[in-house]
Amino acid sequence: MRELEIGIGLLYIIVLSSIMLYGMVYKKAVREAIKKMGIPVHTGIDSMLTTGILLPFFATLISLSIFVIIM
Amino acid sequence: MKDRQDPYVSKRVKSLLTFPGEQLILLEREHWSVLIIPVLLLTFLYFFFVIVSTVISMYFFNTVGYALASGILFTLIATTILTKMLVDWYFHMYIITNKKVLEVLYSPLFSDQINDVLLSQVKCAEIDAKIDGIIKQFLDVGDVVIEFDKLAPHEEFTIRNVKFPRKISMFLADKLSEVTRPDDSDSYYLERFRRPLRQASYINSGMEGGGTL
Repeated sequence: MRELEIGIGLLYIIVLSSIMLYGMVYKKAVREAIKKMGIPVHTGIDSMLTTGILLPFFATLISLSIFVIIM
Repeated sequence: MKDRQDPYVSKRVKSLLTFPGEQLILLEREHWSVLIIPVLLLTFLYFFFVIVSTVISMYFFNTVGYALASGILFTLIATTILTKMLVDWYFHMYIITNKKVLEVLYSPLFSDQINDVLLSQVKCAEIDAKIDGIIKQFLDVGDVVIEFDKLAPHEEFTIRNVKFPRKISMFLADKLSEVTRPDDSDSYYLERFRRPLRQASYINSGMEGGGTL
């Protein structure tokens, strides 16, 4: 049971890290697109992208901390 | 229309203005109301999954930890999908210049599509405005359909779900009539549209003995 929990925890952190990585790559791609097309970025979109990266980042950090404490 | 047009002119989409002397006439996105249904659906699915995972966690595992973890995960997934939807909407644009009509469907990191019609190759254009449904009537949101060369095998260009479709269609009709008309425009249009009228009037005059145009 303990091993299963650790496995699920690790899988969970991997999924969160993947979302965070995707968010970072996506934000970069959007910024490139904005530069390429010459459209000024809307502040709402920009804050959404920032939140989209920060949220997984903090979630991963918190999950990792909990995981380390549990271990 | 002037207010809607001015902020776009010469400041935006510079990279898509490729011809010498090309000027931006109109830049439109779909109205934000197109996002309502997907966002509502996403919210419904989000709450559904969060509630189901909470119930499973509480009743089967007797712990809040799994509910919290799955809640964070579903929030992240929902935020990611929402961000993608917003960005895709933001990069779906209809651009009309004095040289071409463009539809840009750009989804960063996933796909890139640009449909364009060169106005120098167009002889005539018909512009229709269409509003379907109660909500769209209420919001004044609809489609502007531009049909190029209707007499030939025609090509249709639809600007979907834009605010004030009637005003935009009238504005475009004015602008495109200046752009698509050939150099000898007056003679071209007079010949094209008056000839059938004259012929009809001759026929009438022959039959009824009436006057001509």
